[in-house]
Amino acid sequence: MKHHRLWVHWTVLLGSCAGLVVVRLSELPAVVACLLLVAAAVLMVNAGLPLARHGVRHVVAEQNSAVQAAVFAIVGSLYATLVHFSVVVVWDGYSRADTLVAQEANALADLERLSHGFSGPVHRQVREATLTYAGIVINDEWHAMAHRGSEPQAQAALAELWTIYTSMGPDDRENALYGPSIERLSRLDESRRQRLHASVRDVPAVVWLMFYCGGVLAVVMVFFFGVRRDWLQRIIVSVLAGVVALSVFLVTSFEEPFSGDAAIRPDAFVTVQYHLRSQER
Amino acid sequence: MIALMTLAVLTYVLLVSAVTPADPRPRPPLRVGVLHSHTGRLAGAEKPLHHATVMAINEINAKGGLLGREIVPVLADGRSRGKVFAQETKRLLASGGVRTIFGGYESAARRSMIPVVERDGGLLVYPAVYEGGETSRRVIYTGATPNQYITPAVQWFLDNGARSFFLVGSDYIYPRVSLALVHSQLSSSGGRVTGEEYLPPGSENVKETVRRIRKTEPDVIVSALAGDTNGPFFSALRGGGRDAQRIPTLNLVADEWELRSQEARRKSGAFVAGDYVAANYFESLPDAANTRFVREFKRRYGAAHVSDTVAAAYTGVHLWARAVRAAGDTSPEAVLRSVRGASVKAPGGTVYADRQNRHLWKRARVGRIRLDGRIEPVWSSEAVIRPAPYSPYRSKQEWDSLVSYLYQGWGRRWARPPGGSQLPLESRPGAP
Repeated sequence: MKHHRLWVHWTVLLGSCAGLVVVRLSELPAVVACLLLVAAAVLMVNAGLPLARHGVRHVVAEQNSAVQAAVFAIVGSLYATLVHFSVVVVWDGYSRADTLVAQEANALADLERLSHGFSGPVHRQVREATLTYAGIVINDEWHAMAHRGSEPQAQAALAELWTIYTSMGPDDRENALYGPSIERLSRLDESRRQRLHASVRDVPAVVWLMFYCGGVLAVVMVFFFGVRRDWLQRIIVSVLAGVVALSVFLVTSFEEPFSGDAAIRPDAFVTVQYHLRSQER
Repeated sequence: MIALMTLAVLTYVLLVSAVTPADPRPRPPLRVGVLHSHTGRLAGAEKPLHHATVMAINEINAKGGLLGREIVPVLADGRSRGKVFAQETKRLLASGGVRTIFGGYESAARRSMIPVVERDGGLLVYPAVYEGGETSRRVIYTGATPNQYITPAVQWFLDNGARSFFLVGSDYIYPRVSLALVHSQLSSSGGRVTGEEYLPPGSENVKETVRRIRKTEPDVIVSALAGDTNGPFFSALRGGGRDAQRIPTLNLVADEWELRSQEARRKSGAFVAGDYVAANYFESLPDAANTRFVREFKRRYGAAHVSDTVAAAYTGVHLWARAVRAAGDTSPEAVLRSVRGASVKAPGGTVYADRQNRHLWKRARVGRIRLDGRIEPVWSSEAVIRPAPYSPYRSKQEWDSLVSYLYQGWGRRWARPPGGSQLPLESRPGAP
């Protein structure tokens, strides 16, 4: 392996590191981000390989020992466990957020349906408030959640729904549908709170730290395996770096359920809004 | 070589762009109409609105204007008459450059201006609370609809144990529609109306009304009396030993200005002390932005107080400016598109323009009048409230037919004509 022109390798290594950070922080389309992430990782390890060899040229094993293989197997297994754990955590959060959205939209639709059994003014108020709530969630709050925010108007529309039921006259309160309506309203409120919480929930920093450190260690270990053909070793570290980069991309994509290309969409609310509007026609 | 040439060209371009002004021609000023009453019975009430509008315009100009243009207010006098408001609206829109008008106060003025604005393709930014029952596509309403201050205030009284209410108002469109709404709300919420009366605008003959109030002994009086009727009404009501603690009044019209002028006339605010006001804003709100606004308004114009409508007039200009900036265009059509969903920090808190009806989402508040005439907030809604120009207590058709009934019944006017008798109340469930 040639060790001349080390400054070129250093430049590529640092450049690809910076590229990784930029790709991680930017809001590129998922496919582009994924390709760039893998490319930067592959570039980085290929630049790092000669540097590692140059830095520790006397300790690189010409013949791979059984101990070396066993240690690598242990590190690899531990890292795979960590990746598995992270993926399960983010996927679980993602699917739970999806369920919450469906529950919230269902509660909203139920509430409007139940309001048909009340007096005209109550029904009109509930219909207006549910339509408003759905509209704001779809048009405003979804964008706000992509940036870890919420929409005060949606909270205001929910407060209006509560006010309608808590300020009802005695006749309406005796209606058999009053209890179920309050139950749906509570469910709506609870689902909304959990949805907003899910939009700001993060994978813990310590998991990310272990994730990155584990990936770097696994790749660096391969640097010190003695392989007779340089191109073969480059392929091995490139494949490993690519797999690690894909794992990072997977966790990143599902970490925030309401942002990015894999974001949960407000389809359930759109359906409710469509049905409410079609009743008006 | 190519790299050197590219570098030279780039350097030249940067240097030239740095020393050349972006646009050597000054941009023409942006003319907007400011139409309030400077003469007539409403001049006192509308003067602060004029000041608030001009203050907001000056603030924007001080920061470089709008889209690089200075805003120039073109002033007009509505002379406290709906017909003059319509004529002045037409004149402003016909004069060169004015497409947007900030103005109006009474419902009669607004309802007279709207047909002109709609016909001539202008934009009206209207600052006062009103009775609802309309959604003009050419108006941005920065005042509140009844569900944003009347309904919550009445509910607050119901929540605090009040059950019977006497409704009294001046006989023009705002009190008639607003109190009809209160009637419907009470019927729906388990309240009871002990009486409902309308006095001719400006009337001081209140003895019979006060006698009926005492006879029916309501828990609360809901008053939509305006202007000169307030003084005689409260002195007759409270002069007989009935204090505000016994029958509190919820005022739907009297804001700080009106209460202060009563105080000046009566040399005392005692007649209304302890009564309540339904509004969206009070001068005494404690947040820093409001304190700055109140201090600056008083410093510039020597005002003794700042009312809900003044804050709404000020907010309206800033909201419009935000919509113009977002659209990059000053035409009414562009502003009406971009104002949907826009928000602005107002003296009373952040307000949001509704996407559908171009009214503002605002907080409801109830205030208690103190002996010195100031109003202290006693309740605020937990969040901003969605504007509903057509209250859900009746259908849109029912509200439209009520407005039409009053307008036709008053001889195509928005108030009971001088010498005219009170139009019969339309059929209401639970009416006494």
